[in-house]
Amino acid sequence: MKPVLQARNLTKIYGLNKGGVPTKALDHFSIQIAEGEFVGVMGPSGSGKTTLLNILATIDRPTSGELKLNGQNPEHLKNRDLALFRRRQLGFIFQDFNLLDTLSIKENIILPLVLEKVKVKEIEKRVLDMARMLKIEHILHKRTYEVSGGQQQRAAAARALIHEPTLLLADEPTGNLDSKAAQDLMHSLRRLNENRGATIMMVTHDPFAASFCRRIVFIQDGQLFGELKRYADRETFLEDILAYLSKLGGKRDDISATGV
Amino acid sequence: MTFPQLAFRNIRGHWHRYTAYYFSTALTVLIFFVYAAFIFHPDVVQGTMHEGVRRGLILCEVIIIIFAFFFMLYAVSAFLKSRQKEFGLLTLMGLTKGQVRHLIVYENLLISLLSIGTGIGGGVLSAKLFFEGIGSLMTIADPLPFVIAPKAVWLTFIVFLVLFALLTLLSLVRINSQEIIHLLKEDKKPKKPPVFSKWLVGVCIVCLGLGYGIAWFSGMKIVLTMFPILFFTVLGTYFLFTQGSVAILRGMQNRRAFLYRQTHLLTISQLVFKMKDNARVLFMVAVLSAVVLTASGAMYSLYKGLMNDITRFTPHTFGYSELGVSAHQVLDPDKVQTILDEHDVEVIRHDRLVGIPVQMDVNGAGEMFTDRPALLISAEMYRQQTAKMDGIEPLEVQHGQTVLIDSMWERMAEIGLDEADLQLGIGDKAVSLPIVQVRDRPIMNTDSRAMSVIVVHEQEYEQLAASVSDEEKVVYYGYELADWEQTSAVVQDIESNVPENERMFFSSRVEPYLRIKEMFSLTLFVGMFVSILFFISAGSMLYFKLFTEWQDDRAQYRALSKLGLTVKELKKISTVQIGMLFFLPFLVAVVHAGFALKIVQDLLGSSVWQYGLTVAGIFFLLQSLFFLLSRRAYLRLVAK
Repeated sequence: MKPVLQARNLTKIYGLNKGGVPTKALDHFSIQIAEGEFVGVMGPSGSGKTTLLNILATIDRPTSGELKLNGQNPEHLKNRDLALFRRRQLGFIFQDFNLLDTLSIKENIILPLVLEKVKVKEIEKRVLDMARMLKIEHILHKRTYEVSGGQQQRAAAARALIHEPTLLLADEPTGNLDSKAAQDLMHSLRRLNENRGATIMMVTHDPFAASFCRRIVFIQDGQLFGELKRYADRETFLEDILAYLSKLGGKRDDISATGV
Repeated sequence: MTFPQLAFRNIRGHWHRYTAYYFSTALTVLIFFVYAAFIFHPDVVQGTMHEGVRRGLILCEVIIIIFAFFFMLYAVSAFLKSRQKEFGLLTLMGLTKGQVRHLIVYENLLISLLSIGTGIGGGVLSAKLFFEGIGSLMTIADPLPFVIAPKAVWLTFIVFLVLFALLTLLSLVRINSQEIIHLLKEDKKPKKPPVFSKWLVGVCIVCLGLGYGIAWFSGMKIVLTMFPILFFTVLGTYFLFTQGSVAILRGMQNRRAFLYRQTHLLTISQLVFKMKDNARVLFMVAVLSAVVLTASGAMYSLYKGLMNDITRFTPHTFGYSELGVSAHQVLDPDKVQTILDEHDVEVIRHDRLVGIPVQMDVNGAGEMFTDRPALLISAEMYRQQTAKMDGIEPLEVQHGQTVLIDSMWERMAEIGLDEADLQLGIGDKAVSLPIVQVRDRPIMNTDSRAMSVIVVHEQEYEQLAASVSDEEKVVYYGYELADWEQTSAVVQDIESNVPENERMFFSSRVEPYLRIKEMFSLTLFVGMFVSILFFISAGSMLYFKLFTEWQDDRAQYRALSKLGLTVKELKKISTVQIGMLFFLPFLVAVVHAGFALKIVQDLLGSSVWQYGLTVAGIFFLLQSLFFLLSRRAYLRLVAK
């Protein structure tokens, strides 16, 4: 499989220039994601998950180390090209949805296509297709505050994938959802991964959400702690994850048990 | 931390929110103070010279106070609204309603003392310049010495303190009755997409159409149509911003080919909300700007119009008439020449007109045309004279015909030309002549010997002149000087050589010119400050409207940035939106002012467009400056 993301020895140190105490958020962290993978990143609070995600999302730069997204090193791009890179190659799902309340659900979803000057006909086709897949076609014309959190997050997922990005980055996508909505969302993400071949990297606290992934990378104190692969069904994988988390030396308290 | 300290920190922490408010109130205080310093200046109070200016300034002070009240009321309530959440949090932390009120009182007191202090301080510094400005515009008065009357300081201080206290009271009433949860959730309330009513959009179009239509055709009947025009236009403008803007943007949203084009989607969808939220402010700013534009444009046009008239209707820099062909009762031409030489003034034209003095009566034309002293001249003399002047068509007078040269006829005559029957008294003879034409462009200055000129055929003139001796004829001498605007001293010198009882036969254009110029310069000078104040206040309203939702805007900016919008695109979106807020009311104001100036043009009978455009151009530059500053401050905060 073609590697979509290659990160080698990513290190991020905060507070270097400001005269404060430097903190190492990431310490020689390496990760590789191949096309079509569905990878989860788990770790306790302060383990460096968010820093990693920000660097992969190209909104933060590593202090040292090398990052290649789809064969390209974003560090070599200027700000403008970086933004264009982000909106063409990446898709984002945020914990707090980040839908624009001035737009309807549909307008939110098509935003990436509109920015890329895609033809109106093509836009209409793709949005319907996407909405059907995520079961939100009946709310397309509603406003963001008229629909539930789960529906908002699925709309956000649609927005993140409608332009067929190389990599979808999800940051705690179930963090603000109840268990039913979380389950719906994760099923949707898995469908997108399996049927559409979308490559997904998801950062999460939630073992239940993580159990939908095919592979899980554990991170602690900025370093790679270990990796779990899924071989059997999801329920067994969930048990594996919980067992592995308990190995993270007394850190289990930090892992929420939503959905279990 | 004490309570006043908390208040102080609140202001310091939200400085960007207060800057525009602080500067515009400080400017209001400054202008109010400078005017007061003039009004209470000891020399002005005792003297009589500045009475007119003083009265004008008192009127301005009243306008400023009324305006300041509404402006500040609006600003304060906008502040409080943007701080609902903060108050909720304070209440949640256990502050009682009383304490929150205390906090507001402290904050208001602090910011008001700061603005009053700055305003008066700045006023003391600028008062000297203001006095000198007025002094230099008044030709007769010496500049006022730099004295600040304590009364001016006290009046300013007390007036604005009372104003601030009143506003604080009003704002206290407002925060009284809300639950904590409502205060906290104020920010989070979802915004319903703005709607418009087709019916009200119709009302808007009809109102504006009526207002503009009446304005266009009202002409001289403005006294009757003024209030309907104002009513319809203001109402129409209100609906234009509250309904029309939403209707137009909604229309755009329905055109997908347009909407789904890059940043249009974001720009327009956000603009719908911003327009609706700001509709009232935009309406007020538009009306305010229209008033300022119209007033400035009208004043300027009136001034230019009067200046034009003065050269047109007073053809000579100075002139005088003598009774008797060789008489020099009024002035000796040699003396005049000596004085002109002394001052080294170039004479462009020197005219001499001879005619027969007559008493003219036009039955039924009104008092002005009864027993009016006039000069009867021959067509030949008229031709000679007009040949030297620009823009007068040659005149053919047939035997038995009479042409009246009178600038008053058209405006003052109560009957038409065809009904007019001219009766002339020449000595003790009475002659009746038919008028065939009236021309309003005089060929000589009017004085007590000749208010009008009557032109008759040469032969007829000879016949009438035969019975009039040379001593009974009138000679008019007219001088047109180079750079006549500067010849006040020369003309005064010449006039001083005219015997007291002959002064009524001497006329000059310089004196009235200077008087009008002085009056208008003063009005423009004083009005300029009020206009600037209006203008800056309108700008500040938009400025702090822009910042009431900066937190939401910043969150959105960040989210969009993560989604991959380039900085350029984000700035473009903000620029279009801010630009709309600043230039849309301006555009509406320019259109309104255009129609208003059309009325002014009909009244003055001279073109005002050039002056209107000049004024609009200046305002446009100022508005652009304001726009650029606001945009910079906004982007700095939101794109941080």
